[in-house]
Amino acid sequence: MAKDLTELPYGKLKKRVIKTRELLDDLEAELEKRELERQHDEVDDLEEHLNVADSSILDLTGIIRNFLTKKD
Amino acid sequence: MTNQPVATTGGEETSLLKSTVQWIMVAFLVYLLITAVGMIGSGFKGATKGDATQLFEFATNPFMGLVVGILATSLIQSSSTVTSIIVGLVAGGLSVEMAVPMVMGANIGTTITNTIVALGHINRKKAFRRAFAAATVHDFFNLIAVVIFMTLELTTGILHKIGAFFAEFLIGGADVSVKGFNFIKPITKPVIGMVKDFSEFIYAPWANALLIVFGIAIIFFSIMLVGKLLKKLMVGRAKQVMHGAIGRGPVAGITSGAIVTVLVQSSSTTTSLMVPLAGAGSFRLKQIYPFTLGANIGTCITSLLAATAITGATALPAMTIALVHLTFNVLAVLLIYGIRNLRMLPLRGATSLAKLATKNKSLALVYILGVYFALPGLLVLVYQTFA
Repeated sequence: MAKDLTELPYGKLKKRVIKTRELLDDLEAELEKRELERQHDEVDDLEEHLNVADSSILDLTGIIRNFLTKKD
Repeated sequence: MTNQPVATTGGEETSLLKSTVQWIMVAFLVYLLITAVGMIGSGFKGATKGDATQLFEFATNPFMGLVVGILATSLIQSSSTVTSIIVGLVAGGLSVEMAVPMVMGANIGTTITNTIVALGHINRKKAFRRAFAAATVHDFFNLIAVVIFMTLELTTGILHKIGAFFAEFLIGGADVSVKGFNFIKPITKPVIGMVKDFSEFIYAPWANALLIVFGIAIIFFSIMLVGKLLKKLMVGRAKQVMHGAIGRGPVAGITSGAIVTVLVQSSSTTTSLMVPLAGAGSFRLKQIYPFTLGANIGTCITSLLAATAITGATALPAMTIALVHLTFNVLAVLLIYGIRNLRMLPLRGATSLAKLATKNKSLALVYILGVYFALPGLLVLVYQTFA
C-alpha cells in the first residue's frame, strides 16, 4: 500500500485525498443521522423509560444484590 | 364495521373524561401542597410563639444546615419535598440565611438517586462506566456549585440579597401588604383550621407539632401523587420537548431538562431517566450533562408554588428562600456551564471516577457514603472546631 502511494502521481493522490475526505464526511453524517434516529426512538419509548426510572429508584434491594454479585 | 366510529367516539369520550378527572386531581393535590406548607408555617409559629431562634439554633452552623438538606433529601429522595418543607420552616421562623445552606444541601442530596440507579448497571462494565459517569456528572456539578456559591453566600450574602430583591418585587415589602388581593389565605385557612382542630383533638399539648407532622406528610404524598399523575398526563408533551431538543446543542438540552422536570415534577425522575439511556450508549455524556442542569432549574417550580401558600409577614422570607433556590440554580448553570474551564470539571471528574469505579466496584459505594454522609459530617466537625 505504501509502495503504491509513493508511486501514485501527485494529481491522483490529491484526487484520492479529496474523495476520501468526502467519503469520511458522508460516513460521519450517516453516523450522526443514525445516532439521532436512535435517540428519537428512545424518546418515543419515554413512558417505558419513566417507569423503569421509577422502579429503579425504588428497587434498592435489587441494586444492593447487583452490587454484591461479583461478575467482573 | 359500522359500529367502529361509535366505539372510537366512546373511547375518546372516556379518555377525555379520564384526563379531566386526573387534571382535577392534580389541581386538588397542588391545593393540598400549598395548604400543607401553610400548616408547617402555622405549626412552627404556634409552637415557638413567633420566636423560633432557639428551635433553629442548630442551623446557625451553615454546614449543619447543609447536612440537614443533604440527609433529608437523600432519605426522602425528593428535593421538591424538602425545599417545600424548608419554605414552610422559613414561614415558621427559620431565617433565610440559615435556610440557604439547607436548600443547597437539597441540591446535593437529590443527586444520590441517579447515582444509586447507575449502580443497577454494575455487572455490565461498559454500560456501568457510561451510566455512572452520566449520574455523577450531576453530582460533580452540584458539589462545585455549592463550594462556589456557599462561599459567596457566607462572605457576601449575595444569594439571599438577590432572592429578597425579587421577592419584594413580586409580592411587595413588609410595608406593602397584599393581603387584600391574596386569594390563597381564604382558600387554605379553613383546611388548616380543620387539621389544627383535629390535632388538638388528638393531643392538645402537641397540637402544633402534630400540625407540622401532618403538613410534612401531606407535602410528601401530594408531591408523589402529582408526579405520578403528571407523568401520565404530560408524557406526550415531554416527548415533544425532548424530540425538539435532540441535536440542537446545550441550551436546548438545558431548556428541555427544565421543562420535562416541571412537567413530571421530579428532578430525580428526570435525571434517573437518562442514566439507562447513557448506559445503553444512546445518549452521550456531553448531551446528558446540560439536560441534568435543566432539571436543577425545573425543580425550583415546586418551592415557588409552595411559597405562594404563605401570607402575612412571613410571605416575604418564604418567597425569598424559594427565589434563592431558583437564583442559585440559574447562576450555577450560567457560571459553571458558561465558563469552559469550569464546565469541563464535572465532565472530567465524572469520567475519571466512572473509570475507577468500573475497575473497583467498592469505590462506587465508598463514593456514595463519602459524599453524602461522611464529607458533610466532617465539614460540621471542622466548622465546630474552628468556629
